[in-house]
Amino acid sequence: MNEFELLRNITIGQYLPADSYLHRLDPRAKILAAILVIAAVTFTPSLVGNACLLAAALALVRVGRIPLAYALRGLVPAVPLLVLLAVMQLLFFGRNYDPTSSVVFQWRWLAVTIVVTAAVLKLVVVSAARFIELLLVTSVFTLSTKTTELTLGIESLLRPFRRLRVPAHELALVVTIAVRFVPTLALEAERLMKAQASRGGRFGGGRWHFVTRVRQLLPILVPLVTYALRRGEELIVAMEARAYTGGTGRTAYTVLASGPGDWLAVCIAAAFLAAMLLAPFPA
Amino acid sequence: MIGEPLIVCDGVEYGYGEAQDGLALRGVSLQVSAGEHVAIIGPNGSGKSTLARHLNGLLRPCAGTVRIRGMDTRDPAHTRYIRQTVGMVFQHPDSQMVATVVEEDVAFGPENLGVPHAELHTRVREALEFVEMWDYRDRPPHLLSAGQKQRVAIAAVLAMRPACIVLDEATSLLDPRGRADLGRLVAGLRRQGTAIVSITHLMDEAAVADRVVVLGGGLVVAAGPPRDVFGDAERLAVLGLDLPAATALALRVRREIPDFPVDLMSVDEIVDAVAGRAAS
Ligand SMILES: Nc1ncnc2c1ncn2[C@@H]1O[C@H](COP(=O)(O)OP(=O)(O)OP(=O)(O)O)[C@@H](O)[C@H]1O
Ligand SMILES: [Mg+2]
Repeated sequence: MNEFELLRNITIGQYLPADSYLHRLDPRAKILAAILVIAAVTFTPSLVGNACLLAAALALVRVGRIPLAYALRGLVPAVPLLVLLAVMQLLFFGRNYDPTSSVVFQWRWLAVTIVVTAAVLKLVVVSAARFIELLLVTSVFTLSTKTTELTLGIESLLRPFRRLRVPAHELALVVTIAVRFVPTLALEAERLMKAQASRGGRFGGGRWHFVTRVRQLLPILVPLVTYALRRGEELIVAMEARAYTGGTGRTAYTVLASGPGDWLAVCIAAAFLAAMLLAPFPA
Repeated sequence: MIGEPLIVCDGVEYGYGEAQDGLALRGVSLQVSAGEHVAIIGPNGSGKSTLARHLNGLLRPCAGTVRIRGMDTRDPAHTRYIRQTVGMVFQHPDSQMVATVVEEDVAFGPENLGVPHAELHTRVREALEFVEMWDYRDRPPHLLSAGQKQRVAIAAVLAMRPACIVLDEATSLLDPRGRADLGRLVAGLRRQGTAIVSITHLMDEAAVADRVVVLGGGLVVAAGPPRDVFGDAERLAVLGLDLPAATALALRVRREIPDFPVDLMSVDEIVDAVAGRAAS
């Protein structure tokens, strides 16, 4: 993989065509179910509970007929962060976090003492598990949902709140245009990096050199923002030219239709959340 | 197939800033009839794009009027109808696509017009089939070539069933093949009776129009059938404009053969002229 092409390989919001129950699910039902499952992840602190959640997340990958390796690939960029988080927790929590917990490991060197208690160990495992569960659930969601379905789903779910002045149509349009422009901007960023590299700019440097990499991105940020603003302005004119005058009086090309199978998914997710909240998992 | 006037511009003046001395249009009058093909040429900054944006009410004249089928573009009540009647294709293919898949993008215009659901589907299908992009209907735009994007942009306008399409340098970022494809599409549209206003720096594209309008410094400096406009090579040279390749060639031949005709617009006409002389 070329270092300049990193940006184009963004998998967020990418659709993986397959014929599965999850792919066919009404996006509104899928959004609600995903929110419920994410709530379950957020509110389950126990080891056993997280084991159940991890199993459930893997089951979702199966139901969505997504190759496991593909779903896990989304985890790779997060690995350094996960490791960093775990190391920090192990090094610095010590006895401060739940002092009653028993000590598993102790190491002393001059004035430095590193203490790892059972509670900290558990915390490390649980936070890593949560992270992986969240990533799996969101990637299953994005891999099985087309952007058009997503935006239609958001618009439709928010429509009841229009009385409260929630701009449902406008929000959906913002999401659509944002997703629409990710690849365009990625290609432009690539072009800028190549142009600067050809005039002696330096890019790359190891996977671990966060600071170097971020600093290298700064010089392309300004021209990229300028480009985005110019394209945005042209897009507004193009939309106006096609008789866009806001959300009122519009009809829809794609109309969502949900059946009992869709609402079953929401019920299952709700039952799952309830079970996770109520189950007497050992603390 | 040229009928009643569709677009009538009368003494249009327009300035972008406050300063009245820097007017981009300084009194342009122009008519486009139903089914007519008008080419607008002129040097950079002569006001072509500014004029184009007046034709469907994206810009409104500071002085003078623009009427589309008799409706003044300054009246906001007519905006939707005017935008539906005169469609617009821009130069940059990337910034005209709103949706994340081709068919949704083509549907965007008719959706805005409030076309009923069932008809939306037939319109999108017809428009995409016309530009031969129906097979690409579920592709995201960034996976299309520039030529394909411009064809989708034309389909997006066609789905609104316009009476006139304005192309503002729509071919300038395309390769010769993409340009030829688009040229064929435009010819097909004219056969269906759609009026075309094409803005171009390519004189060969302008040569196939019914009428050529030359803008210079915000004024119409020449207008008429391509033969008349390109026959006056000196005036075009003053503006820094080229001639169509065939006309330029005829002019060169005339230096050797003084009675060789110069009002030739295509290679075929040159061949005919040469063959005619060889026979006589
Ligand atoms: N958005 C704008 N703001 C201010 N001035 C503008 C704007 N757009 C165009 N102008 C000015 O108006 C004049 C006419 O510009 P216009 O874009 O209509 O020319 P054009 O004939 O389309 O040129 P080109 O061949 O480069 O496309 C130019 O002097 C230009 O600088
Ligand atoms: Mg222009």
